[in-house]
Amino acid sequence: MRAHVMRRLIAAVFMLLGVTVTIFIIMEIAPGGPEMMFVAEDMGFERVEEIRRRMGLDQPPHIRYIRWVSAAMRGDLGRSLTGAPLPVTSLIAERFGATGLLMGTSIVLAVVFAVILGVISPVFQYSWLDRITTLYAYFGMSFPPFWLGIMLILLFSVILGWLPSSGMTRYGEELDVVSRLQHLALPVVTQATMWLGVYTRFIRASMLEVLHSDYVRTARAKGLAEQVVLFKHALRNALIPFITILGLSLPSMVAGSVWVETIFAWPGLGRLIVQSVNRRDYPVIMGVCLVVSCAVILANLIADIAYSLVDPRISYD
Amino acid sequence: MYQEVLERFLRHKVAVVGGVALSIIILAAIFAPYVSPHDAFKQDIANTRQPPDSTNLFGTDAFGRDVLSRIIWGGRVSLAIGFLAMLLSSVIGVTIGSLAGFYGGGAEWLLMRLTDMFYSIPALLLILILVAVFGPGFWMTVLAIGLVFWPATARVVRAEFLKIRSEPYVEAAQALGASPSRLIFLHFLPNAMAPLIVQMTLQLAQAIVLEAGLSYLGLGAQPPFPSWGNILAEGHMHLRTAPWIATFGGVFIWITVLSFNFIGDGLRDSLDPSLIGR
Repeated sequence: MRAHVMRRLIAAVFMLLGVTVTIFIIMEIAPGGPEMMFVAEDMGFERVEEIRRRMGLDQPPHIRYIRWVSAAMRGDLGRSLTGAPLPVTSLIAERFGATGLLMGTSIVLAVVFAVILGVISPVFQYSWLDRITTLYAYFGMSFPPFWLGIMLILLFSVILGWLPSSGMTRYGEELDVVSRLQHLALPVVTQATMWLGVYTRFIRASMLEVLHSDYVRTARAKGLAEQVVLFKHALRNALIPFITILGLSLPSMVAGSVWVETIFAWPGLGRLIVQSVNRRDYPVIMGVCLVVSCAVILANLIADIAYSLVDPRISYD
Repeated sequence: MYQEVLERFLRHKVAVVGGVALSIIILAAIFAPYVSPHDAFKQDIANTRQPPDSTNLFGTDAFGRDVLSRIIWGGRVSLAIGFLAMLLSSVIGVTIGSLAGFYGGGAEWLLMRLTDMFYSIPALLLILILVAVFGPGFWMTVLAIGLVFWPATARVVRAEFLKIRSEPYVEAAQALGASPSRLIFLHFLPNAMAPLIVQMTLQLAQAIVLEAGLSYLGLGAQPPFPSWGNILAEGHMHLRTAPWIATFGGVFIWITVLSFNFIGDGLRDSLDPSLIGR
């Protein structure tokens, strides 16, 4: 067990190394270079060299890589190139909460409903409820997230006028729970819909498998109440592999939130990166990618360790 | 064998429906100049944002252009990018998966860790970095999607190769002195084809969604060339005054993706009947 955790930890460290190297290499082969932001056409060669030296660009790549990574570990990701030269870390910190709120609520909502549907539908396998669930799982999975978001805006804010179509609060408004929930509703439903489909499909299949296993038959033969069999014996075991799926779905969920945040003008990291790409604000792009990749790798590491903790049948040694 | 596969596929009703829908969309895209009812690029300032009627079935956009014609032309860009990106990612994925699955050992370990790494970086972020650095455009979109989409294919191919490695016919071929390239191309790849085709179908669907998503963000194919994504972006802008643009624009992406997913399912069941119900 301990050896397994150690192996995963080492693998995670290597992955982080790989991620930083990949991001660094892409930035390295960029035409021009970071100094182009500060170079004017009429500057002499010496002036440009001076700028390069001051930015540390006269050093060989491996030295600059080590500098970048060690600065990042100290929490220094450089400064934004456009607008006010704010530190990238504070830009990210500012937006992190908004993304966390949106993604957290969506995940919780999707998981809760997926568990409910995933438990009920296999119990009544081949009933209309089961059919609707499978059908939904299919259609939900195929919805392009950005289109679903736009259609929800059309229905709930343009036609019905019930919910706001963008932002986190009304202009100039103090924090108000009702208004926050109203603003949260559409983005969360958009984000959760896609994942509800994927998760339900998985839990349903997993439940079906467990319900046909020997220990469930034994539990029933003992004369246990059906609820006890379902929730204590079947569901618990069916949910174990789901932990891995949850971890693996994180990267695509990040992608989804880039679109959802753009559509609903949600002031989170996804919107920050799209804005930075449009402005070619390299330090911000690199910083956001680094932070998000770290978060995803860490979450997967936790999912992996949790998996081996909750399922004692699995031994890695 | 192909006869059998085709028969099984035709029995899979949703897959057939998906196939028909997709054929119509693809044919319309290929023959766009002949089948689009109006000029997709001609602006008509007197006729902007008209709701759907008998002349403009899906209405007109903010420049008075026919939405249906733009969707048909947009299909060209979206499908072409999706297809080319899928092709690129398959070539990379098959190469890496084959090498890892065939040679095993240290090479496999290294290649699969590389695959894991690319799997855990959110693909869209990498694509955004690439687009930020090299600027958006048709080929950049193909390249960016292709370069980040291969890990799933590599995993599928490697898993198949591992299974095939211990098959008696491979041992026989090896005993006869077959070269590695002969083994890979004549024995391994043909037998890994079924899951690979399914994987490619599903990836094509994902690539199309991704392309649409990138053009929606303004980072894919660039206007005035219509693509499904930038039709959608325009539709979002005019959602209050011309909701039909975004509605119809998205319907086509959705139908296409749904069709590919149906076909992928049908192919999985018909190419390998032992997997049915999984």
